[in-house]
Amino acid sequence: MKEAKKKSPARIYLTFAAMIIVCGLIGGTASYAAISNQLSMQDLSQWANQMLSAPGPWWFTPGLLLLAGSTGFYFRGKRLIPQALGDDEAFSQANLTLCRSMFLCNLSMVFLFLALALSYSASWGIGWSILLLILQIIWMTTIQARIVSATKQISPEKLGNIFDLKFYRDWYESCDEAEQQQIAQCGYQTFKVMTTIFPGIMVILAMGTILGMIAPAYSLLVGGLWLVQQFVYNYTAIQMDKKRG
Amino acid sequence: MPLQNRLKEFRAAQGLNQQELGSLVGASRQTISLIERGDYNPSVTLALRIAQVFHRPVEEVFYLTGEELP
Repeated sequence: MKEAKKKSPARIYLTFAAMIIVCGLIGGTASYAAISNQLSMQDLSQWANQMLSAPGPWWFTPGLLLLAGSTGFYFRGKRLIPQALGDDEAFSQANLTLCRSMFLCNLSMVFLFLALALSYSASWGIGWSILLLILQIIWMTTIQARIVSATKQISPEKLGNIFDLKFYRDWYESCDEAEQQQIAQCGYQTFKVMTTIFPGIMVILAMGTILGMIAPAYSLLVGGLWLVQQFVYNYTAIQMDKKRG
Repeated sequence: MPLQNRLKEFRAAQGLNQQELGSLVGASRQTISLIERGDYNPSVTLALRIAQVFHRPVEEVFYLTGEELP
């Protein structure tokens, strides 16, 4: 296991100060450029919205491509199952391939929702958008169920039905100590990344709102999500500390 | 100090595969694989269970680098 490197406090404060200065400079330059060029921020915002909605049903392409990749990994993983039942090396390979399949499938879900929002704001291809939406939902649900079923074949101790709302709880409870620790590490990694991303997004949104490019509701939405993340993490930590105390 | 183990050696001696050993100690096959590769340090409970299956003292199955094997 890696040992944490000790940074000197001076370096930590310097990095923090440099980050604040750089952010300030970027913000200041952007504002100055916007004002000096006499850009109409409302027009820019309108133009951006039009550009985003222009591809219409084509927004479903990334999600569908990811699903195709996921399906490819699924079939590759499935072919390894008979061998994986007896051979330890093949088991690791099959498990990894199915994990990759689920990874692409989960990414595809995000693109589905993005496509849902962006393609329906287009002035064309609504019929195609509906068709592709239905196709992606059916394909995604089917492949998710098949991946879980294949994983259960090589790890019969795993519990949970993908169509059950308590799936994640059942799956987690059927994991042993190493797998639960792995899930916790993944969760922490996500928290760390999001804690870095949220302030940046909030600064960009605040600047956009000040310049009249972005509606204040977006700041409220992202701020709300950040609040939920901070609350859940810290509340859970306090509850666990209480139990230990 | 990193924890080392002789899990693979003892498992092979007993003619067990990872799935079978996992079932005996209440762990998944993946966890046995992780322990063998040195990617996961098992809890005391799991380490004791594993040693029990091999009928050996726990320090014979798991040891710290730099320590001589018992």
